[in-house]
Amino acid sequence: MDATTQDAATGNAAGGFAGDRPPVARLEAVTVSYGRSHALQSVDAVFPSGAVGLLGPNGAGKSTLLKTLLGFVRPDGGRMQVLGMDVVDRPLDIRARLGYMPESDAHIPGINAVTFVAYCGRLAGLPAADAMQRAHAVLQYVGLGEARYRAVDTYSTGMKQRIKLAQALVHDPDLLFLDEPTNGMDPRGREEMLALIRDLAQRKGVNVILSSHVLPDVETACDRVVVLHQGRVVAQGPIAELKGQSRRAFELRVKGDVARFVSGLRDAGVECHDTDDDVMRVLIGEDRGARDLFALAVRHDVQVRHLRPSVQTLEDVFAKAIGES
Amino acid sequence: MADSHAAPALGPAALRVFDLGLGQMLWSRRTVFMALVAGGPVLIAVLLRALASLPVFDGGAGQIAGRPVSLDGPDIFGLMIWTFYLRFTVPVLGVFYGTALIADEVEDRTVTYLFTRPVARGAVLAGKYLAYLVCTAVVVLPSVMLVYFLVVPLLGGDIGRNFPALLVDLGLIGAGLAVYGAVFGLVGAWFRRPLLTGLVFVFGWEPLVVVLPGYMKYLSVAYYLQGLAPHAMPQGDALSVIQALLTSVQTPLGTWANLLALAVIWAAALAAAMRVVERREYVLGQ
Amino acid sequence: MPIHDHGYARYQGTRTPPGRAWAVIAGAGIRGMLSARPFLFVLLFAWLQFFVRAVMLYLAANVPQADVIAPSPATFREFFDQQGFFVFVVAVYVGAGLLANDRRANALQIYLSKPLTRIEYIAGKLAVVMAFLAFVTWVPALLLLGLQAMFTGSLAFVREHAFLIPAITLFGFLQVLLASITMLALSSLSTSARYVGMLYAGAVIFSEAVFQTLRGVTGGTGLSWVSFGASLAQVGDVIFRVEPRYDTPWGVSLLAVGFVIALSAWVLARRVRGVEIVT
Repeated sequence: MDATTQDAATGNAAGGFAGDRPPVARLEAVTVSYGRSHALQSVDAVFPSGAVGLLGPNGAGKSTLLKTLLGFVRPDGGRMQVLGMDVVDRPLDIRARLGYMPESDAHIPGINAVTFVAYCGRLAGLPAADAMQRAHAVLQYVGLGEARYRAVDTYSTGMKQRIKLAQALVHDPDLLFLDEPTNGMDPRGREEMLALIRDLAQRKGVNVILSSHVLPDVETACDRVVVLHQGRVVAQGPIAELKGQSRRAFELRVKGDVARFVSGLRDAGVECHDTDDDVMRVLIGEDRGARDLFALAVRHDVQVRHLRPSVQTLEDVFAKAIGES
Repeated sequence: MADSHAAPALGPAALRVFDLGLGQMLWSRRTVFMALVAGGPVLIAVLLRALASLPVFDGGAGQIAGRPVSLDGPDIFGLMIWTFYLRFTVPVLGVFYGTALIADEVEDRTVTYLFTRPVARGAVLAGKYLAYLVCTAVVVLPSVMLVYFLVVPLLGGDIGRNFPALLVDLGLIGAGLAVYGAVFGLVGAWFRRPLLTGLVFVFGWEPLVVVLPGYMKYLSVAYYLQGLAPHAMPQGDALSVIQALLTSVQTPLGTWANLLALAVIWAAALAAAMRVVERREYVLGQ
Repeated sequence: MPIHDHGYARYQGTRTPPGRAWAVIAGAGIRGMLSARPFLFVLLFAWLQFFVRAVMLYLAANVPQADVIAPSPATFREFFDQQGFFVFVVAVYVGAGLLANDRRANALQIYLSKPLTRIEYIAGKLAVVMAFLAFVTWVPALLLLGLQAMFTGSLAFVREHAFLIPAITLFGFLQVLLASITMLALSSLSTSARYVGMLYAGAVIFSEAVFQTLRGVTGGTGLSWVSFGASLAQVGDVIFRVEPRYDTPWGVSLLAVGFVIALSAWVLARRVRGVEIVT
């Protein structure tokens, strides 16, 4: 376990609302299987307060993890706590303080938006009048104020994402599970959704666990990340620390036998990723620098046409974590 | 030179929709329902055959467990035609598939794809109706034949001698599927809750009006279909007893009159359904 | 202007403890049905028999020549029998879409992410169907008994047949529970309300057709337990202390009814989940 992983596991969070507060969710050796397929394999993870991204490619087990924390799926083994309560022993107390925005389209059919959101508030224990008042306020907050009397069945994909957030928020939860909240949204809607999530986590004191396979979304909205791959946690910790992990990034373009050069880079312990154009991203240890790259280029008889220091992104962290696993 | 972009005429367009609809119907999960509906009587027939091989069943003496049985194989077959096919399979499949012809497409929000093709809306309904008819006939009629061959030989029945009655039964069931399908195709195109309307018609209205004196019974399909049945009506419940009583005191319609009435209902319902589909605006998502 | 500028306030009010969500689900379901005008006509139609029988009770109480229509325990038994069609219609109208529509819209994830159990969810939905079915069976039957006393100005009939109040309640409950839970179980199997309605009709009518065939073949009614309707009718006859209509022992009929209820409960327990697991 590296330094950042260890830091996250002890719950010593930094940034946002983390402070010294206890983690909002903790999993210890949780295993979930669907028949013979293992969705989660001995997962140990800690979600500190604030906004935490749950990152992983499709099928990594992100949704299963959220549904297990919700109590929808019974794990084969392990222990889980949410908001300091055991998931198996106190599922209703947990759900009273939790909001869930599912990945797929989900609504109560045949009613308009404000009735739907108020109904969700009532299901969560709010009195009728309060539920209706909060439904109006929350719909306004998520940008559906004008469309609140329309039947939810007639909403567009982006509007359905917003109303799913509204129903998760209406009872004012302490913790929000957001499963791919920007799916199907146009660029502007996506920005607005991410702004809402940031606002909730940073200014309104609502803890957020944001599950997504879209790296920029997680990077924009979250301070910390848990990376899942094939049902296992492959990295976790503050994004800033994971990105700054004792490596330096460069953009590099060369002329010559590129394949042989890349092979040589890898032999020399340099991580190398393709980008969309002919520029590659290389990551080298902190004790090495541009001079080493030039030396390698000379050794492999290629000309360096472009070399620029770069910043390590979450994508690099993600690629490294997945590659190592 | 023919314009290759010209919209097809009603007939060819309906055949195209039929081609598409038949595959859809045969390989949908609804076929499971149809298989259950048509397979149920076959299962009962198999059970009866199994029962016939048990010692409690004395075919020669016409007894089951020592109790005399007044029916023979053809009678049991006639009973099954009434209870399973005329009163159950035919109306149930008619309601289920007929009301679904358009309602399914609206519910699944796929009606837009059909209605934006260069075919008349009426052809869409006609094509899907044709697919329903072929699909149900292909499943139900073999089921009737299986039941016939399993049941008629029981208690000394003769397969060959009763064969003409089987042909009448097959025609009757085919006609029932056609007429009920057309009527409920109209109901499905017209009403917002077609299934309930169909169920009330089949299991509420029809059983009631066919026993009422006067002309009310003419406002049903069952009356004409039952008039064509070659078997005696079973006397199970009170309504059947009343119906049998009334049939004996009232002059029933002749075969041709029944056939003509069914043909008129079929043509009128199908034409009306096509007209409704042509004119009605379907709102999706509600 | 960013949309979050509209503000979000933390909730400071009270919350009811978990355990009452079923009432919220039931209330919303009942209100939803009552807002549909065609359904009000169905309910009105379902009360027609009550009005006819009320007139008959009035005549029997006040016109000496109308002795022939004087009420007896069989009158109330027949009332339930004849309401059977409306039980079928109301069950299909109200119940077919209750779970199927939720499954179609993925609403179960929404429900079960709130502080309520699967049992509460099922209880809430069940209460919707049961309320309306009780409204067309148990309520008018009890009212008829009350009207009988009011029209005659005497409690003699009620006293003489004191078992009628528990009989009406017990049979009403059994009839309503059987129809409701069967419909709900079928509704949990599909995402199409129409398909569910058809399955229900098919199950009820097919079992009756099997019974009628076996009745014809065997010449007896000992196999009435194969039909839902016949089993319930047989148990009803015993509850109302009238001559049982079939040869089947009433215990067997009761077992058949209990089996259908237990099977439906098992189906519901299997199908109502926050996630659909396909292995």
